[in-house]
Amino acid sequence: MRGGWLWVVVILAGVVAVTGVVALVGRDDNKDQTVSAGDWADSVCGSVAVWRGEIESIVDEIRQPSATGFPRSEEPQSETPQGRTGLIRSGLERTVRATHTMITGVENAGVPDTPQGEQAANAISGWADKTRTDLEDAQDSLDDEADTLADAIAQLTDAARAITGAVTGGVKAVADVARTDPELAAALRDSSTCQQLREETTS
Amino acid sequence: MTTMDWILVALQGLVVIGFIALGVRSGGIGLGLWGGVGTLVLVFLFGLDPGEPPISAILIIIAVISAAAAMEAAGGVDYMVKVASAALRAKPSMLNFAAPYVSYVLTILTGTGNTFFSIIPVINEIAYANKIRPERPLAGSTVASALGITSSPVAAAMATLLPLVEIYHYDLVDVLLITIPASIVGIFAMSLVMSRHGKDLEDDVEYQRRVTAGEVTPPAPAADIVLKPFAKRSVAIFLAGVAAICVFGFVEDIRPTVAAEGGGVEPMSVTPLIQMIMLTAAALILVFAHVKATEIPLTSIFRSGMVAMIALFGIAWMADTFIANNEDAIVQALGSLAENWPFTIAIAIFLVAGLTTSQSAATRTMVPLGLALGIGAGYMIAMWTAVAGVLFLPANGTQIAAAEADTTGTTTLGKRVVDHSFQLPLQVCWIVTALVGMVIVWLFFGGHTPAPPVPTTTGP
Repeated sequence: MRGGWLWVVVILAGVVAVTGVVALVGRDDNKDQTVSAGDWADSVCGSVAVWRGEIESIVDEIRQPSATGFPRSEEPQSETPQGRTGLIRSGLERTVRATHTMITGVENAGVPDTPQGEQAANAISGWADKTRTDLEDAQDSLDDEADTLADAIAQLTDAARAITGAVTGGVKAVADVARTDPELAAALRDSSTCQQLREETTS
Repeated sequence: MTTMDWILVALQGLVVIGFIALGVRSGGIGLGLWGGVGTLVLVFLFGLDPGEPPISAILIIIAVISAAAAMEAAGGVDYMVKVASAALRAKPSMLNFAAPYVSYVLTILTGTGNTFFSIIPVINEIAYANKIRPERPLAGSTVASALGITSSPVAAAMATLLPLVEIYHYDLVDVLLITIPASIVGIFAMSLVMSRHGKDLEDDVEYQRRVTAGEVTPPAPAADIVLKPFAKRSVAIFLAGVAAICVFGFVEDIRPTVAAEGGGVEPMSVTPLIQMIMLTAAALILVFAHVKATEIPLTSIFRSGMVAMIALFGIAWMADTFIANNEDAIVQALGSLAENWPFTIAIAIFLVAGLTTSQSAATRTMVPLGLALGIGAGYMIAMWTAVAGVLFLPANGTQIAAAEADTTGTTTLGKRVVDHSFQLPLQVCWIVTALVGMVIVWLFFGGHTPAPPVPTTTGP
């Protein structure tokens, strides 16, 4: 018994060690800190690229549920209208979560060290706050039980509209700050992460 | 979610834990039967949609057990025990180290822990014949098999991870350079702990009780084993089957293609291939090792495999019913934990994997969150090995099969749900692997990101 408790203590010490190491070296969060324009651009483009990877994986799972781990039953649920809307609903819920994560990443990019950096960070923060509210509304709408298939489709459409609004709003916010701050525009153009994102998007 | 929703989720979780505990107390197929009752309670009392029973895992167990039992009927297991005992003569406890590494490599090659089912009976028999507490190599190998997913270039979880970290200039090779060395060290540390864990078999109270009650017979010395004439042939066929699964698992291009839902064709998944190849191996053993089909159901491997199958059916069905209806709540709760305290991200990955029993779900939800919170991509890859946490609850097929294969009773699913035989090796393995992985990143990847790829020039 004593040996058992000893192991519990050792395991807890190990967990503390992991969290301690993460706290010490793992974090590179720049929220509210001034960073170079290049680092800011890398962080923003990195967050968008991760979001894009998530969306690709979600779309793959909706298109091919059996190939990506969703179990296939005798009569696949995804092939009935209810099953298909269920799969899309689940995909949209994950998209809402992924978009929420992207906003967190963009916010954590910090304040770029440029003449208009402070305004840029405020503009991004304003977009993030508004979008979070929209996404929460979309999530609440998805959580509600739909009585009919038409209601379900209407809910899905609203959620999809909120996600589209979040993305276009984000693109506009970044484009606006780039327009008002030539240094940020250059950073967004020259950052290797942004270049890679552009290549992936155009390929 | 409202407070009432959270209370309902907690109540459903308690139902799942309660019925797992009841099943574990009953033992054997009782685990599956109580799991079925739990599913009924979740569906009728809480109004949840029934989840999917683990059809693929059950079919794999049937196929693998057919082949392994045919090999046992042909005397092949005796032959493997004899060969392994000779190899381990100087130091039988080396099995505690060798078995986990074999399981790890099998998972790397096939991208799925399901291949591990095929060697569970073999590890158990070799351990028992050498008077090694079977829990030590069996529990260690089960954990190593789950960890192998993070080192496999063909695993679904790896396919989920790569698009998330590629933008930070970590490609497949970088990921493997972090996860493989870290896993090798983690498995070694785990094996070291396991080789000293628990009483030696002959001193184990439960084992002694089973011997006295005539439930198990003490192992015969390897030298006394009289081999059947076609024993070697059956082993050759069985191992050829396992090798074929590895080759097909690793080289996608040689797999048959099937119609893809979105149009075109895609390589067949490894899961049906395992089933086909293992059933074929069983049939070939019947023909070439001259085994009568009626002898197969009489083997101990067949009996324990069938018990494992029923146990898995009920328990995994109940767990999936709970998870399928509550995955979002679980992810949301643990995501908030990581968002408020980013240093807990590794624990959050571990718990999401454990509570959703899905390595892919933990990858796709927690890795992006960690990156968004500003944790370096390299460190996220190191911590990603925490997806081995799928073994946190005793509801995984390999855990149930390993516990059922061990007739000595040393490998257990626990009395209080989390105190099962796999918990200690799991905790040691993921903690050491994650720590070593982070050290590797700090030393060799500059703690941040590798140098961006040099743009290719297309000539003047």
